[in-house]
Amino acid sequence: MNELPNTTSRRNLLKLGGLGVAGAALLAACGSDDLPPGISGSATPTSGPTPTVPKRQATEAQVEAAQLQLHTLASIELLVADVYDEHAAKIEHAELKPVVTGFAQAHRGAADALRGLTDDGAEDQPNAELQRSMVEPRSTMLTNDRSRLSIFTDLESTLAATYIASVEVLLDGDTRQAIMTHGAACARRVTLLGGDGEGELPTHAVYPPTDLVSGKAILTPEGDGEGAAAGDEGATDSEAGAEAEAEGGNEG
Amino acid sequence: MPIDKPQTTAAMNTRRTFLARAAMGSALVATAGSFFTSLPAGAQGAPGAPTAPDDLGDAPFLIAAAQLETAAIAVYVAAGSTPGLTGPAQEALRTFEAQHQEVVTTLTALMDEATAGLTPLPDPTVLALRDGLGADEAAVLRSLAELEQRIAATHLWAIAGLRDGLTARSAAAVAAAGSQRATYLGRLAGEDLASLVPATVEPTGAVTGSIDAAEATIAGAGEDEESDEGGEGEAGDAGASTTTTTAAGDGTDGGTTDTDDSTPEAGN
Repeated sequence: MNELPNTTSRRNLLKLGGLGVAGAALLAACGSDDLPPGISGSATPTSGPTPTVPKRQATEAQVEAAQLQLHTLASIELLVADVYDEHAAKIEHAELKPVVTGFAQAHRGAADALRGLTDDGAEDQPNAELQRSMVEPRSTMLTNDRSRLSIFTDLESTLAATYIASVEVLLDGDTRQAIMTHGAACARRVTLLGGDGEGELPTHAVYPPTDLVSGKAILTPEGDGEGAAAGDEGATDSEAGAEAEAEGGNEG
Repeated sequence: MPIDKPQTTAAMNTRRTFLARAAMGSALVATAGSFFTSLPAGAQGAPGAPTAPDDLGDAPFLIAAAQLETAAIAVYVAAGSTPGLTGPAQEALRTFEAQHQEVVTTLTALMDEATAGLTPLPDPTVLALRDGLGADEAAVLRSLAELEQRIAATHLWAIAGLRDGLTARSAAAVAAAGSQRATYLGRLAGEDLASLVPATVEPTGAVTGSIDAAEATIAGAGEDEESDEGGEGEAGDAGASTTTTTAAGDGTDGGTTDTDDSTPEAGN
């Protein structure tokens, strides 16, 4: 400290400190926090969101991750739209029915909007992993309003939580805002449909990540992951599962 | 190619988030003199759907958001005194008042040390809603739904300009929860169901004027720090000379106490 020039002020010291800590943050961002026990290092240079890095310095991997996140969201939107298409008309709640039957269109509109945010504009298919893990196991049990509203609520909450988490993956502020106009709409539907359709008192001050999709539902560049769109003829589930496991697939 | 996992909670403290947040805090303190003047025109409190901000300082946003939440608490307290509230309405008001207090805590946790030392004044725009809540339960619930929608809209608006991913994600989570409260209150008030669930939730009605007050509050603290140049104080001592409020949750009058005459009032 005594060797610093006389012009050194506390502000300058703070600036230097900020640079130092920012550097540390960059180094920390190169590592992974999510590796399962017993695994060190990373098989591939996965680059996650590094909040302190200006967006123009985003890595190729970050850009790719953002694109995949948009496609993943679109694929979930399409799956949810399909579920509404199949079951919304069966709702007997007189007040809710006309509202719920319009949700499929809202979700297809969201999927279109998301596609417009992607670089390639490629069309997505309904998310296969969520179809397998969330929809199919309940398909035979959707026999009354309660069960139908329950799956609607769960899917809307999954979308809301995934939209929120996606904000941190996306690199552009306008895109973050654009997806959250859909995410907040999903959150609204959760409240409306909850409580067996009578509305459910929100119990969280901040929307919880509880219903976030699992890592398996996230699309991969090759389209061969478990999250690959329905109808994809890529790798088998076991292959994709092995890949996800090798990469320390995340938990919802 | 795997995607790096976003599926961690905002509250989870990993090595990365800890260091990133620390770096953000240090950087904000270090550059406090420059970015307050760089806010775009869109941040100047336009009603309706304001222009998305290109670059919104995280610190002013967090302070402004805390100002909104603090005012919301006072509004809920006032609403709770409405005669004849039914049980569900009373429960909702109690629950949501507490949730706004939780949000203040969440926002404070995202602030750097110096900013977290600033206790925000209640936002006057939101606070003014206390005077027009309405005379019966339905009117009060509608007013509160509007309050929730405007706060959610503010977070949605800010997301476009926030630099830090974690802050943006938290704003998104707050916006989603606020949207839920708006929906629930609207339903309790008997609003048309379709109107409660639009296809998209736009940032219409965002209360952006609070950013100005937040800038002034932090700038005031920065000036104090500047004048203290050469001293031994830590960055965190900027919070020693700032505004305090007695409104947070006490349900009285939302009055404020300025502990330092040099600190600007939080006015819009």
